[in-house]
Amino acid sequence: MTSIRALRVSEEAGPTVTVVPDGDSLLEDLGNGRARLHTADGRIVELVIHADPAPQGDPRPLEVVVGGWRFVLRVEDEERAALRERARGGAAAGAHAGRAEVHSVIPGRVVAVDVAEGDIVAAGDRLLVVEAMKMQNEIRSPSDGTVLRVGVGVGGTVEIGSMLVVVG
Amino acid sequence: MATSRSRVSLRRDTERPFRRVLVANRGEIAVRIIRAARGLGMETVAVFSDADADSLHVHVADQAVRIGPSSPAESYLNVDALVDAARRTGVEAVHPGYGFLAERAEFAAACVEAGLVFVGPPATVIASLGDKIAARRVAAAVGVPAVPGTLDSLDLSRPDGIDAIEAEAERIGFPLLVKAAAGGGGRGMRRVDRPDQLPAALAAGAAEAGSAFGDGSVYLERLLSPARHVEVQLLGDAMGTVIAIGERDCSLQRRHQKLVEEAPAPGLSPAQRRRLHEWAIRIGLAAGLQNAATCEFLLDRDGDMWFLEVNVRLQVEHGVTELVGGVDLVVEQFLLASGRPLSVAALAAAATATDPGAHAIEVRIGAEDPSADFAPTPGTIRRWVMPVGPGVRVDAGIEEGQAVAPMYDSLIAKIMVHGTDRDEALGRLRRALDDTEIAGLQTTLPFHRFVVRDADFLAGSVSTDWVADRWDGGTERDRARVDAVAAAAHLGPRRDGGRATKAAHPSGASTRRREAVRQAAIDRWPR
Repeated sequence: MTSIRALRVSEEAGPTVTVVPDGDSLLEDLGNGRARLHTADGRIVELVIHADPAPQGDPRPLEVVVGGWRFVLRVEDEERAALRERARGGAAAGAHAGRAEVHSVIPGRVVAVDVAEGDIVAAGDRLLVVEAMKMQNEIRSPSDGTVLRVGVGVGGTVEIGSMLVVVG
Repeated sequence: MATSRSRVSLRRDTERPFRRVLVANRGEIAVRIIRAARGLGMETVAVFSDADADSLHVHVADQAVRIGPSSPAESYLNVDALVDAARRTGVEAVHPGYGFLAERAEFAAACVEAGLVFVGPPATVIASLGDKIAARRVAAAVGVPAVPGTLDSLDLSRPDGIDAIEAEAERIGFPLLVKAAAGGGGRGMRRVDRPDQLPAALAAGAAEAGSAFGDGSVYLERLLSPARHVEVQLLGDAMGTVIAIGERDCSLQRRHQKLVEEAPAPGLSPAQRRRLHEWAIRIGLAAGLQNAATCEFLLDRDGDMWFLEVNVRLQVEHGVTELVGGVDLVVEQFLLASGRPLSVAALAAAATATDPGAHAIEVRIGAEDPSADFAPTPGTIRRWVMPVGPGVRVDAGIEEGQAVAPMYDSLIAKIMVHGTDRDEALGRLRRALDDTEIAGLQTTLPFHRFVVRDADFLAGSVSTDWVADRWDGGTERDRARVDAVAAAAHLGPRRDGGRATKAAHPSGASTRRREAVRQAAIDRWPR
């Protein structure tokens, strides 16, 4: 198990999560844009995957439809994403003013908390990690600022919509 | 009357009622009407705005006429342009569809004036029944109980008027609704919970009605909640016969827009069904109804039924009645408009209307985001796979690669199923919705997939408050996101320009491990 790579999956106007793929789930390619996900917790989910032939942006987006819900997702290697962010660094600083609440988009268990109230963080810094369905979801700061509140602790469980961190 | 018909008259029913007809509408309903017309052997003329030059309804018609720019006011609501298009193409009849000009008496009158047959109720009937206050008076006159409220338009101009209105409101009881006489789609409607909210609601309702319909008349009506929305399909011929061909339940709504409809209404007793049909026929006869219309009622918690309003046109949800009754309502409309008596098929459907022995359900697929309060999601359809198979019918107005324009209704398809009973129809609907694949824009599909597994809906006891009380689209979407992200991670970063990245196996998993996961998954299938 030498080459496991972390991936960053981001949704337009939505959250970014970091996924470390494991062997417990499987994606079957059914052809013609259809796929079947065998999840780590034993569910079978039918999906439609559409790659726009003329995609915009870097990385290029991919459309995944699950149960009629449409997600436009960008996937990139964690290392590459970090590099790209560093390159952007200066320009992006201060771009996001104001207070941002970070909510959990998945139910799971908090396995790491990297920040404490009063810490200064930059956009993209890791705030905490939520483990759900054997995926490590790294929750990153949406903006530059100060950590105003940390709503969870290591070992705690979170639900969809739980307030995790407030950055302002 | 049905018994005396010979084979000759049966054949005459299927003769084409007109040589050429114009369909003054767009989208799925224009496509559906053109199909019926072509089935009757009639030539068809479509009309289109600039935004619709490449739309499906233009392609399925024999010819198409541009009627103006994209804005509805300059195209599909433009009476002069439509009548002119009808004249230039030499059609004999005009079908208005629903929405746009379907319930405007002046459009029906303008068609007749131009020597064209208007495929719908006569202009006089549209004027009398289409005005909700007038329709309430018709109901009262023939002894059909209307939802408690006022029978006259409220006079907002007199300075002492408000006192009289407040007294009326106290008599009706709170909560109540301020409604527009010319209303539709919830416009001009305001909910009033307390007397002090009344003046503002009256002013806002009248202003909205004035700008939406050109008529600011408003009235008061008690808000019945929870209630079910049940409506009766009527057909009438020029000889003065009016029949009811079953009822539909359209309780699943949000902001007074229907989302799911079915026929017959679940759980009604035969006596309730008979009474509803009889009431609707009484109102239709009193108004001199010809062609097609729908009488809407509310069914309250105590099982009492109240007349709500009449829609003097074809309804969006007419298909479920067709599937249950074995009758093509658009074909009937054309036949009736040509002066023929009610057809054998229509009379047969009416004869079994209180015990049809079949069930049909329709869901409306709209370009709306059900996780964002059903906000419109105009865009381009990138994948469009509609369900087929036993008991499934799809009326759609769009194809893959086409755009859903922001200036028109968000409805893009109606998925209908039917079966011998409600359970069979529900099973087919679940299957049909699982087979539906749409990409490119968000639609109401996930909402419907939720509904068909909801205990209240399965029990047939959904009220008009269901969406507000039970639907949490944000949470449902967040659940799906977990799987979407997992799938995207398996696919990995996109590398090439055009093709979808091939589904990859997770790195680190051995072939044997992968096979074990796959086998375990297959063993659980079907769950």
